[in-house]
Amino acid sequence: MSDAGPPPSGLTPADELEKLLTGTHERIKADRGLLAWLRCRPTSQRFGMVLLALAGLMALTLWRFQRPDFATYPALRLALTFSVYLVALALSIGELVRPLYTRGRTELFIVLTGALPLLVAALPAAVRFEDAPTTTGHGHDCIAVGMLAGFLLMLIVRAFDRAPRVGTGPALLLGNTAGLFANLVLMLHCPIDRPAHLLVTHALLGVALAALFKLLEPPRTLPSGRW
Amino acid sequence: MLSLGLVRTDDELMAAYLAGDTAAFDELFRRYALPLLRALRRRLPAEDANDVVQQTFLQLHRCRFDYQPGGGLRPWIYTIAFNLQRRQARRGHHEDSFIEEEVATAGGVTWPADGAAIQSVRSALAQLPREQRRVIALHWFDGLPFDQVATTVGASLSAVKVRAHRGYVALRKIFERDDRDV
Repeated sequence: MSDAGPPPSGLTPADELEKLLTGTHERIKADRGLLAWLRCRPTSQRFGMVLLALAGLMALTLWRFQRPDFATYPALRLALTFSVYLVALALSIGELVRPLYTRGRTELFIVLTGALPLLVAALPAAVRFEDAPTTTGHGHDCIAVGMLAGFLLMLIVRAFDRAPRVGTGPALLLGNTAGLFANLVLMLHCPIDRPAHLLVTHALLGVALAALFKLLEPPRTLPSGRW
Repeated sequence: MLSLGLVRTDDELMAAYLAGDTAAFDELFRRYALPLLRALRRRLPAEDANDVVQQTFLQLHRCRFDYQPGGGLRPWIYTIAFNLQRRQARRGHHEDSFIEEEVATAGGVTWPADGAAIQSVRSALAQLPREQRRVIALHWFDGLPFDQVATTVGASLSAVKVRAHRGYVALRKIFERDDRDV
């Protein structure tokens, strides 16, 4: 085999290879515990477990925080919007937990997950709910519920994601997907159909969640001494 | 299917690793780490390239249950590495940093140490669009056959061949133009 470029430490390629192998063994040895076990599951299982966890959160919303007009809201409208959100969510979750030996379509999914809540916010209101809480008061509630739902999605996805660190593109996608899930949960929770409310306190949550994720993500450090 | 020779195939090594044989993992590492390191050092600083190589094999360990025999392990490893490299790439670090060395040893053949020729090839490659340069680098410098290049860059076989063909045509034009100038 030919030389592997200028070895920074002046080692021979064979020595360098063995040092790299030792470092890799150390990393594999350190990759233990529940998170490591989850990340080593086959991709179909990881995908299924993420969706199952999200389904549990949606069921909890329906059970404890259901919108007051749920029984009277047009069922077809709700079913259609919910299904579109659900399909987009499943596709973007598939992209987020995709194994690294496949090429992704991150940019496409960033656009899809970013645009969908905006499109739904632009739809004309289905019904006028006279007893709806005031937009301002309920807006705060929506932001809190949506941010919590989105944050939980980010934690769940990261628990199953094998990638060591999230770059800007995947972070944006994660934020948008969390925003999409927040919108899905809020659809089950919030009775307000006004476009301004939907835009500010539902559709833009993805941007806030992406920013929150980048803020909380620890900076990348090279594992010095490992190689 | 078991091979009759002493050298085990990638599929046999992966099957052995799944069965708990850690020596099989070491054999895969020794088979692929060095060419991968060479490819990565064209794109990243040396320390980052080492890190990506180790991360790549950690990822291989994590996705071992996804492996389907017959699919080809080498494009798997390269795709993991380049996905990680893209996340790790630092602004301002040029892909052709180590291209001089790669040109000098392309295809396993050591060319005469002609600085002017190397500089000329380096400069010509740098003028190609990124996708064409990448296909040519993977095929020539890393020795990947076109079907594996296609898997690695996420394009169809025909698209990769078209990119390579256009790249070679462009290189020829660049060299002809340079010859005329001389």
